[in-house]
Amino acid sequence: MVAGSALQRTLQIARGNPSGSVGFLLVLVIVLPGLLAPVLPIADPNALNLAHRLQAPDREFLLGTDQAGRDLLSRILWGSRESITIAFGAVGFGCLVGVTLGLIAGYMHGTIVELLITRVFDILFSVPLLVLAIAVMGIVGSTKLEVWGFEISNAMKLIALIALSFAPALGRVAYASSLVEARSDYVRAKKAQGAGWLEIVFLDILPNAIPSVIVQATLFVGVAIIVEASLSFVGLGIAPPTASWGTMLADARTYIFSGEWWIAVFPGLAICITVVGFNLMGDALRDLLDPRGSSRSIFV
Amino acid sequence: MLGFLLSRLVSGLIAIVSVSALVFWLIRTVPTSPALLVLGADAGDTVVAAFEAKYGLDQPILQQYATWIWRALTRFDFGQSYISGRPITTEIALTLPVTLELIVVSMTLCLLISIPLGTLSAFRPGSILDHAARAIAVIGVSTPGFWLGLVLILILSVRLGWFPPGDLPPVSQGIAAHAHSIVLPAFCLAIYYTAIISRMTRSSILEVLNQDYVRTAVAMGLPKSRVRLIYVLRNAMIPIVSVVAMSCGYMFGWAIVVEQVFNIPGVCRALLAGIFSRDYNLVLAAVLVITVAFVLLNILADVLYRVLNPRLSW
Repeated sequence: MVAGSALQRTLQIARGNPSGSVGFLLVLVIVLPGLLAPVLPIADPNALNLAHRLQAPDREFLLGTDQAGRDLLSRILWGSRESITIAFGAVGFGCLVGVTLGLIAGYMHGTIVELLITRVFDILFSVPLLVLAIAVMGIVGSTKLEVWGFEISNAMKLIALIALSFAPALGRVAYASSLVEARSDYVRAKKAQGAGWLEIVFLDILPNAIPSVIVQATLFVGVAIIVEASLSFVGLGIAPPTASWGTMLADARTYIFSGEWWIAVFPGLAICITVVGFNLMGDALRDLLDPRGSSRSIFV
Repeated sequence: MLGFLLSRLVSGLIAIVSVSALVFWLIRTVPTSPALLVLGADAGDTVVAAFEAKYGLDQPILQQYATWIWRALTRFDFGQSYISGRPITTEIALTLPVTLELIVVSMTLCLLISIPLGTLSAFRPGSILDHAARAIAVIGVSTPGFWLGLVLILILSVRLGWFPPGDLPPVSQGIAAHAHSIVLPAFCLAIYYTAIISRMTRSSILEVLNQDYVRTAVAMGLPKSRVRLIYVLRNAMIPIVSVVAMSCGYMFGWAIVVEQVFNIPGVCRALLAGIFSRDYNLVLAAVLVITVAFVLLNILADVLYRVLNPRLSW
């Protein structure tokens, strides 16, 4: 009964937000096959097959093959795993850092802590983070990086750098809600009861900040996917031969003039579909969760 | 106002110093010495030591950084390229105007499309045009500019031959060829901000349309066109102005990929070329120049926002 009503309610919400539902479906179309890629009956994404190189889309290779005869459909599906992992990792990490700092700054209104944290956000906003990310990846990218015995992979570096560029915006959203909540009666009552600041910030204020953070985070997933693809495209992201949408497009550059259009078109379409999906979802979530709109628009 | 400006300048200066210091530190801690890159991996110790002494690479890193940033910011002297031996300043002077031109053309294109689009859909909310504009906006923010570039080259250059597929011939080789070559890259760089600014224009106009002074003007019987142009559009453009300044700053980042796709000799492509040829002085200079431009555009955005919103306190 409960499951039935939950389903009904979900359907009701979906009917009220047609474009959000379309977004959800678009994301599902890309993410689900990506998750299932290891068990789906598709070709090995890295299997070289020189007999079938640069094959146009046909029955055997639905989206064609690349210069090494690798199946593009398979590579796009495997590539979605890279994109989604990095995008979710970056947004998640950015939330962890930004939201924590933002909540604390709002709660400690009027103290040096607030001043310090908001100053750090201001400074991060004045940094061209895409340019910095490219410079940092370019300098440390090729060398093996080890921190305290852990080997840092390229994907982790990308996650950290993209997260750094999202943290201040996510932090400001959390800060705005925290400022309001910290002055509310229920928080004052909790304080009077002797609750510690950790408890108040994370158990009372955080739940109220979550809706606007979720909206912002969903919109950032799309941005993260584009940033990752751009970095991989210029050769400073995911390193070949691992399948990623950006590196596939980098390969495509060579074949644009000789007529092999499918190598350039399909990976980019995959990016577009996924990002449109996340943006439509973010828009719908904004109407649903954050109608007053304290979450900012999508900027990198 | 002075206090506000000062606080923004301090933030900006901290941003400039921390970015350049981080990049400087990373470069100097990379295991391979620039000397080995230039002289070859089998260069003898004495040759390497002489090279490092010549370029001051044997001094403490903090001192190296201080010397470098002081010369860079006060005399625009970024040292010389380890690869070509030319002064980096020449390199920057040749490439920076190209990127600036690309960004200006791109932003102009963006405004020419987005303002009319946003305005028309705000005055006819719910119309077919409004829905089409929303669809364009969603696709616009979701399409990577570099991929759009590849597809446009594929269709408009290779198949149809309407535009050159890349390169930007200098103005001296004819202004027509130059202008013809900049259209596609400018459009690719513009698409993201066209989408954002058209949506902002729409929501900003809808907000102003609900204001009492607009209702009063209409009630007083002022002609519709006059109300729209003078009362609505002028006020609705206020938030857009500062977004335009900020977007120009963000365009430097996306220009890296666009210049790469279209082979445009701008400062962003120079940055990438410097990274791949390990011409680290060039990388440092390009990052610094771009960061300074970004910081200045951000401050401009903040100042414009407050100048145009007299109700906000400084």
